Amino acid sequence: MKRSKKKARATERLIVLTVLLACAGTGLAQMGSQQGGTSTGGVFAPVHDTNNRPITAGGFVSKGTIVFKDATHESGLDSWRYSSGTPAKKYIVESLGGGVALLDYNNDGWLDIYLVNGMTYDAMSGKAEPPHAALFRNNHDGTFTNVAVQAGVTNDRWGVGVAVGDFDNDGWSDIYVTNISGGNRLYHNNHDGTFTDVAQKAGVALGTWSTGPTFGDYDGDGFLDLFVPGYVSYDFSHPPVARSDQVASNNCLFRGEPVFCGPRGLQGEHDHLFHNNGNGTFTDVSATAGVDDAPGYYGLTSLFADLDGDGKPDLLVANDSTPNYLYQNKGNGKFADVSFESGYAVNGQGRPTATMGIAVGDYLNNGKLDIADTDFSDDYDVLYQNDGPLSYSDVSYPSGIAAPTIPFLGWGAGFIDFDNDGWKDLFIANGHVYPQVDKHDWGTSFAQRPLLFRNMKNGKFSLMPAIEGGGLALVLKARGAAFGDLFNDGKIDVVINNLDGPPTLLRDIDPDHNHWVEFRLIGGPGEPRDAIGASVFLTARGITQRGDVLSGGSFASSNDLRVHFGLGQATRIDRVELTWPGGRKEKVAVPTPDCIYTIEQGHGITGRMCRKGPGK
Amino acid sequence: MFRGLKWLSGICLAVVVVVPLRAQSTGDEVTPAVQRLYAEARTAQQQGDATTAIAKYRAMIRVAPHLAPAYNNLGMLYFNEHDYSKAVPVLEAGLKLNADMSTAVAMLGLSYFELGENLKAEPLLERALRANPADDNLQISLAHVLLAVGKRDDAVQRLNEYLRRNPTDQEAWYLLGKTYLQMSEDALAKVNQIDPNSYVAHEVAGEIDESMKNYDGALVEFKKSVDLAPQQAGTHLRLGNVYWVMGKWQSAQEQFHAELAIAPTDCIARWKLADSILRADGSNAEALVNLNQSIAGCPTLMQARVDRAQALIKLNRQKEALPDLLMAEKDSPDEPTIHFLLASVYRAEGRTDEARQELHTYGELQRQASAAVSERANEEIKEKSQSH
Repeated sequence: MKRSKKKARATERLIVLTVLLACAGTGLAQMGSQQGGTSTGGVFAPVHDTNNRPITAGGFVSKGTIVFKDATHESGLDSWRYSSGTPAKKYIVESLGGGVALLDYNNDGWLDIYLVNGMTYDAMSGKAEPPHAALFRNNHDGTFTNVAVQAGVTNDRWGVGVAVGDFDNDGWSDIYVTNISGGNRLYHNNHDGTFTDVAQKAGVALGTWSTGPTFGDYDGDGFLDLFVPGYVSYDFSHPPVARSDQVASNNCLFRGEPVFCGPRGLQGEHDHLFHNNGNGTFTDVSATAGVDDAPGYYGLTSLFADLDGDGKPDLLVANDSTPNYLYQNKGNGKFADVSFESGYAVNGQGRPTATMGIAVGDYLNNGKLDIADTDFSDDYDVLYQNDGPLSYSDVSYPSGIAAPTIPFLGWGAGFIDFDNDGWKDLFIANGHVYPQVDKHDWGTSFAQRPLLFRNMKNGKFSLMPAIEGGGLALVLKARGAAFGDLFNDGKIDVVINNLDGPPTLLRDIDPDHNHWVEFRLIGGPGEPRDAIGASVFLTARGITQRGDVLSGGSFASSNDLRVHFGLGQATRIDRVELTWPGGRKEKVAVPTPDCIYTIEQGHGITGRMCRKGPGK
Repeated sequence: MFRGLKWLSGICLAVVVVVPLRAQSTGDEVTPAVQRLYAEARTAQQQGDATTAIAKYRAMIRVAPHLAPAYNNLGMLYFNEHDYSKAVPVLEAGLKLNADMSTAVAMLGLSYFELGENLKAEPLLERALRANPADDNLQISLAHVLLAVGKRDDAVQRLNEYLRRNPTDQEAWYLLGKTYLQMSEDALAKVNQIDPNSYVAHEVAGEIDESMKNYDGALVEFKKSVDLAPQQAGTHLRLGNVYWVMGKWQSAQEQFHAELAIAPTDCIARWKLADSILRADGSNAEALVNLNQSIAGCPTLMQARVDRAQALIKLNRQKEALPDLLMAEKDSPDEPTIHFLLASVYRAEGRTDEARQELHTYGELQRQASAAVSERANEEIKEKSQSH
């Protein structure tokens, strides 16, 4: 025994020397940097404001126009809070947070809000009630009432993501909720204000750590299919800590400070594609479709979107600290992995990012969908410009997105036209995963303010100032964010699900006088009824914009399924052309702006809700 | 863990042949009773019954105490049973009667080695080897013993002799490498013995910390080294390199600048300065100037060429980046970075198909690397979860 210990020590010493000698050479230029368990761009000098606060929790200005106001309290959303583990965030599972969905679950024409909740250890051990998810019904007067218990959608599992889709084409939105353990939920809408969890029966419960799902009809059979990314394999009875069995190597440090382990070093969970059989059940076709994520990358968010304009939804998967996926829909039930070929797998420096969220939108108004990804602090959020069929280039620096986002850790994101000028802006919700960052002068903070980039209409963005008292000056532990017109006023509001606290409702109060229009689409026979996958091309004053009906994206969240367009000063809409899921095209004459129109495939406008005057 | 077990088992096989009883000077001891005991012992041995064989030889020695082969054979039985403490006195007794029994000498030496009595083992193995210089098993065993007694130079000589005859023996190569590493460790320890506060001592400590990825520790040591010898070439480079590895680009640049003030032609420092500038999103033009100088001094430094290509791409001079990238690709065709940059160049030049092909190659290389990492991680996790 004594001898073998001695030998072990000798071997250890020798290994040190071996490594030392190996280090004498110089490898080819490294393109990545690893800070513990996550991928970052390196270590950047801290940026402080005049009060010496990190710029992520400061940089406020006293004068200026407030474009988003904090409407959390007046809306009643602060009656609910998200809970997750303990404040110390000792384990990766506690720091991920949850998503939010905006949906009209009761078909009253007003958006309601679904907020995913986490879990506490007391609840897991039966000592306390589990934290419930929230379903806030829109009272049409600026307030909301939480009806989750009555609706039967409290989940009561450690939740992560949510996607909205009418999977059975009955005209009522259903909700899919992902969980870390215990199985996911597929809440079928009973049309009476209640839901029934049919996940087990439908075959989409899984039971492994699932994250940001997305609905889309990938095979064009008229029924929404479901994609569910997997994050890491997690065993609550043996949580990963430094040098534990669950950690492949020591990935439990950030800038030399001990933090929770992962995701690097932990075993990745695979992704799943569920084909909708059209009879209330689904079949897992991940492997045959070629999207099963064989390497086990750490998937966080996914989104079906027709990126190449061929009428078939392609698939984006944001992976944490591993290359992202871009799958091209081949139209035969299979996808081709063109992640690297398209330029989406890594950023423009050739480095995989710790991607948390995805925003998709045509910010250049050229008819092509661009992509914005949020990622870790000490790294820039990436703006991928669509250069042609499934070819993207990183334009983060020239567009002005990169530099300001470096200290921030981004999550939910969306291309929204907050000022209705006809050009999509970019909103990013932020918050760090390590509470320890507040103890160091690293230029970042645990709670962070959101960022709003205004589209300068020339391929560049300008960061909107954080006016004191406004929504952009709120310092939040933000995670999921969903975007939509909560008040049917033609303005895009934001709901953010915050870690260990109440959510935030940012109401768009930009004082512009621009016109707008919104479309609620209803698919026809052979198409998903909620028209997920449809694209709308709108032309006004010589500019053609594109809007898409998408479910999923942001971070583990789901946005308003209605398509919104800002029209600037245009009082006339020259042309609206729709591409329905599957590729069928239809032109619709839209009489006036400042209305929310319902368009049914083949029947044109079948309903409208208009407001007097522009955007107020 | 494997400490010569293969060779030891080889030795066992080599001596398993029982020495026949022959009349020595005390030939009259080979009586019919002794011959019967010998026959019974051999039978027991052939049946794998070592206990009976040992009993027979012990009985034989009682009636024929001067019969050296009996001691040899009894010692061999103990040796094969790994009962070295019993083998030693028996073999010693036999060698007193007949010092020329080379197998007994070898077994005695190996028994001492197994008992950790290396000083006693060494002369015996040397002697056995002199008697049989071509015996590889003895050679390698002696090398082990020499290492154990700290005679590393002699061990290296023995190992090299052995490896000349057995050039494909991986374990022997490993042992030789390990020995060299131990010698290297000894040499580095001398640095500390001479003056633990010298700049060299801190450099050594820093390099060990760096090799263990203890970068904070390495920074402390390298800073001390710089403080002690600020004008010594190499000190700033080492400190700067740790900053570089940690991604602290500004600090790295300061140190590389300081290094270049001392050694302006150091192409590594020049390259790393430029690389730090590029990574910090500093001036591409400044990076380019340094990269040009680095490559002028070290034209085969491919890292500098790749960085120069990166700088040129950032300066929208993609066409000029192509020669460096093609050269680097030739040198390291499996380096993904180069293909990624080539794709950027081709894309800028409108060579879409070539750009896509390079991205495809880049993707394939990344996927392979990723699969390897994933497989390795899974193996590690599996191994850790299965061990108790």
